[in-house]
Amino acid sequence: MNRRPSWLAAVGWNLALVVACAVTLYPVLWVIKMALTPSQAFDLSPSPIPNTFSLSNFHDLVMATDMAGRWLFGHWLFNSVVVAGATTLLSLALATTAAYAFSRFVFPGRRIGMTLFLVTQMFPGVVMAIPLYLLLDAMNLLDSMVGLTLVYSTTAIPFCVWMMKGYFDTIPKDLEEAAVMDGAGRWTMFFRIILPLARPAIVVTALFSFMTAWNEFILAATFLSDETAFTLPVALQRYVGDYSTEWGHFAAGAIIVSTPVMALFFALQRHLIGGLTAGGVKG
Amino acid sequence: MAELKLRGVGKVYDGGVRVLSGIDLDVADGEFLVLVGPSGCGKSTLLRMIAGLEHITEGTLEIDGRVVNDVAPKDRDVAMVFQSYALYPHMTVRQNMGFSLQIRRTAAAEMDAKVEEAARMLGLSGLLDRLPRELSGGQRQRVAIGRAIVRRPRVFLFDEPLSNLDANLRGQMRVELKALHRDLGTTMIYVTHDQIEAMTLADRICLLEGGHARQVDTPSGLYDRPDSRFVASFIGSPPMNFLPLAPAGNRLTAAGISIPMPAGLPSDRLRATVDVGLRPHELGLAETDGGSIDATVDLIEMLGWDALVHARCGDVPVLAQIEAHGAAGLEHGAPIRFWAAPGAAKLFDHETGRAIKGGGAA
Ligand SMILES: Nc1ncnc2c1ncn2[C@@H]1O[C@H](COP(=O)(O)OP(=O)(O)OP(=O)(O)O)[C@@H](O)[C@H]1O
Ligand SMILES: [Mg+2]
Repeated sequence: MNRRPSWLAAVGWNLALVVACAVTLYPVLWVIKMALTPSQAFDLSPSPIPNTFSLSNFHDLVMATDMAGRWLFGHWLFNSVVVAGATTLLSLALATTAAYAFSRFVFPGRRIGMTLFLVTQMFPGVVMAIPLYLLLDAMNLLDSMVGLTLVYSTTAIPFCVWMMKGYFDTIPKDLEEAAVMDGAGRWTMFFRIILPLARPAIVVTALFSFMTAWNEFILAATFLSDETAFTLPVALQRYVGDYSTEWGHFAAGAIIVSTPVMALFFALQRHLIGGLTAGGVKG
Repeated sequence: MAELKLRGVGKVYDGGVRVLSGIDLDVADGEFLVLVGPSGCGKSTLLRMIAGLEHITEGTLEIDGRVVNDVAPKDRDVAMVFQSYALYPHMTVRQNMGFSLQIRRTAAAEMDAKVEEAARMLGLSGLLDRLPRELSGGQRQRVAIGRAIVRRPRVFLFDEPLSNLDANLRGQMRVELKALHRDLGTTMIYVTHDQIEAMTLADRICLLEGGHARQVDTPSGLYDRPDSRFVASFIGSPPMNFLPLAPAGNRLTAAGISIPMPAGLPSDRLRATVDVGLRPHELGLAETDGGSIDATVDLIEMLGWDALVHARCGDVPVLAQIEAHGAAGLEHGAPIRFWAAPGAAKLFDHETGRAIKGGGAA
């Protein structure tokens, strides 16, 4: 029964994994190479190993100012952080409570509601760009972080609700009944029992909403026109011009944008473990 | 401390499924009442209605003279131990047990004292800082009980608390529960489908079947004076034999069976076939004047001190519990004559299953 994998299979698997890693890493290494190369032009050699080492691209990007002397990078970073942070908080607050209601309460429109959430996910964001633009314009929320946060939250929440509801459904109802017998009300139950047990789902939901907002480009580019209102992805796009592309700046920007997301992943990954409810109920 | 009064309690679930009807039950202060019955008879439903987890759709429930039909569970001052334990997986034993006190804003020092006292009673003192997943099944069960006793409720409710434990541990916990009841003196209502648990724990048993309370009595009352064939068959292990016999003169007979007619029976009850109930230990191999049953041996189960003889009289199965040495030589297919203990036979109406009692009290 306990057959050890054959030598050949082991080599095969490892080879396949090495190839997969190489394929994935090659473009990433290229981006790093471009970012570290001071010129803004392509180096046409296929080697992804940087042959110069210069931080001038990062320096240019981070220190960029506009004509009025305003520190643009500071604005962009601030905008991105605030929009992504606010989107995460808003989505979490609304999605966990909504998902809990969908999971535990019986009310008219429960099934339809969940289905509608799914339907909204079927349209690509771009389709919504024009109507959303008109809405935001009417509410005076163009070029505003509030407007952008609202738009991102509406895109993130349906997925988050589905995700959280699926998880809540797996938490045994016995635990809540025990809490009721212990004298807990709905809110105590929600904050003290349900949310702590749903930690893995909350982490996934938070990451998802953060990334939705942090990486989004098309809608942000549509709604923002003031240079100081840009988020990082919109700002980056300015380096890819119609006539000339500043590849070095672009690559440096790409690295700056993706680092926080990676850091977040590493920081949160230990929470992404299942089996939190183990031991509570038998059977 | 509390007494409970159920009057005409019934339950119809949303969608019209009726699972309980007309339950009248009084539980005295400090009593250990066991609800027992086959699977699906509505035991858990009744318990959950007392707890307040399930709405009471008919009748009234009084605790200490106050109707609590519409009182929220937390204001009924009852505690419940769930079959699944339902421990909070992310909280330590201490936090699990202290949760209800914390919600009631008990001072930290008092809470610690109460938790530690309960832990001492249940032998959990060394485990207070563990998580539920780091405990054995028996320990989890104890924590679940501890969580119920820390706040000293008026009534304890247990829903099959021992059914997830292995047989040894179940026996041990049964004794501990009995001792706990003695020490606390609190009213307890306990659900089980295990009649041995019911017999050993209860002050009184309420036997449910199909949503009706069939008989409420002390364990020995149920055992000695069952109201119906169902009660007689449910209580006692191994289960009672039922022999359909017809009256013939002053005896009740069938092919191979002849049992003297019990005295003092109402004559009108004795024209048609009756079911005669005899418990396995009331059958023996030594001659008596309680009547005889001629049967064929099917198989023998040796239990050590005694043995179960499965036999057959025509197509009526007969089970006898006799001393092991008496069963030693018996083989499959061998003829055997059982003798019934005099006066042991219980009579039941063959159609309705109702007990037929002497002195006209049918
Ligand atoms: N929410 C519900 N809706 C409709 N019917 C229900 C519901 N809950 C339970 N029932 C039905 O009520 C009946 C009694 O259920 P209950 O759980 O009280 O049985 P029980 O006596 O505890 O059985 P067991 O020994 O198997 O636990 C069952 O037939 C069950 O199918
Ligand atoms: Mg049950």
